[in-house]
Amino acid sequence: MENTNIKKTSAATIAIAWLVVTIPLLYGIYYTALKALALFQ
Amino acid sequence: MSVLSFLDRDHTIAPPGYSRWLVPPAALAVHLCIGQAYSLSVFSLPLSKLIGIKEYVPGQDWDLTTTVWIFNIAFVFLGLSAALFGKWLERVGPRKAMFVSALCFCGGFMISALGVYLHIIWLLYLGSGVLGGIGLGLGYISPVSTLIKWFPDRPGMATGMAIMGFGGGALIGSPLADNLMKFYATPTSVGVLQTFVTMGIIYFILMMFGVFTVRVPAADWKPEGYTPPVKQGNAMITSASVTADEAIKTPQFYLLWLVLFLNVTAGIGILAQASPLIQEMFPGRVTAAAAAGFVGLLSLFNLVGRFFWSSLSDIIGRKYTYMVYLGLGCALYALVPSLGSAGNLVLFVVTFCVILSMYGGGFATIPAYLRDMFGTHQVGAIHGRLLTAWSAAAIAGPSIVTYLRDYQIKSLGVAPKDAYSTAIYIMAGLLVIGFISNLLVRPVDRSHYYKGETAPNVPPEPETARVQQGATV
Repeated sequence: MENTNIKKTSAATIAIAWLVVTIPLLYGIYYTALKALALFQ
Repeated sequence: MSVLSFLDRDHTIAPPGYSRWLVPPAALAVHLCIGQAYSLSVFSLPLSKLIGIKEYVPGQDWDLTTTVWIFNIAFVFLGLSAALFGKWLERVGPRKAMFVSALCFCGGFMISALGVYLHIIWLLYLGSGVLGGIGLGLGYISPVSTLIKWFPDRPGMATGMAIMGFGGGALIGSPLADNLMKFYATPTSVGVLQTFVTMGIIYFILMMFGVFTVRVPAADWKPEGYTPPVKQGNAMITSASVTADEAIKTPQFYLLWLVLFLNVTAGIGILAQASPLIQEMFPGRVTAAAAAGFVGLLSLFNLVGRFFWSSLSDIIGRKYTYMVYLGLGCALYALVPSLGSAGNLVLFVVTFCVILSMYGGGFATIPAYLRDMFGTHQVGAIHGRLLTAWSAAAIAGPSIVTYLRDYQIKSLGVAPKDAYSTAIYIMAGLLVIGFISNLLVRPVDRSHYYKGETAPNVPPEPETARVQQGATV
């Protein structure tokens, strides 16, 4: 029998967790991409 | 009960319903922080002007040859701590290891700040070098075996995501330090002290997010609809386990050590010299700013390659993936001197981007390769021991390229434009050796299999530990 009382992790919690790490990563990628653009100018 | 008991492995077992998709962000939080080590060089110049502020004061300020040792010590201690503390990590679980990693890594920043305040270089060696290096090593291997256990169906992708974070950490660390130093700089200070303290605090908060989020799966947990590899028939994926002490008695461990060492040596040698290399191979066409852009582009491909190639390895297999890294890498390296002679800048840049993506991929795919060979029981500890290859390559790669370049220019009178060709051909040769080593990797002999009790939180192995018959690669 499946336990119906299992509390599943909400999609919002997962999204927030990913945002916590994605935002700094995008910050780094943005600055690096800006620097990389100099190669094409 | 200890105040810190929440760090114990038993307290980190995921309750039913816990989503495994929370574990990669936890791992990324740690790797994004410790990856800052790659950008330590951003402090080199400011550290050499702590007294002079505007410029280096000979005899009083630290010169660049003094500060570069911080980086070297950190990477030596990364390898040592990963090798020494791997078994401890497997015993205490990822949360405690991540916590200790955060204390070491961020505490290292604080000790370095004190070193800047007192102007004592040994405190920087101790802080960012020794303690920071231990934090690096522990943090690097902490989430690996946990991720593999959460993602038995996609171990390459899971560990690739975490190790991509290490590459991302370098991209974050450099502009963050730069912006903070600009913010804190005054006519009497270059702002390094305050930057160390601020970064230590920011990184500690982010690493604590990882510490409190990470969970290990329950012993009987498996992903919904997952069929264990016992039914998939791949000889290169074992269903048994090998302990870390036993793994280092197998030829597979040393072959994979060599594969990682050679792949990293080739990549890091070029990455460390990328800026002067492109400027000297294309004199008058590539400015210093454009060369910095080239380095940035390589860092991006290094990052993307970690996720792309390790995810691909889940589909085509680890051995084939390394055949691509080493075979295609060798061919591309061999092509580089011709592209330089022909003045084909676009193809030159594209070639190096692919090479660096495979350099990153090599790091990211190795944990899954180890899991395929040695099982999940102590894969974190085995990975830690294998990382000594990284430390060795971090010394060998740049040394080969710079020594050969200098020798060709100073002793043989070769023009700077052509002075990298020999080093590049040697790198291609190293990749051939790596290719052969990878070809020689076969399933581990069953005499090495772990026959003791099942490790905590590790799903029970099949009764008869065996490798599957079928595909050989």
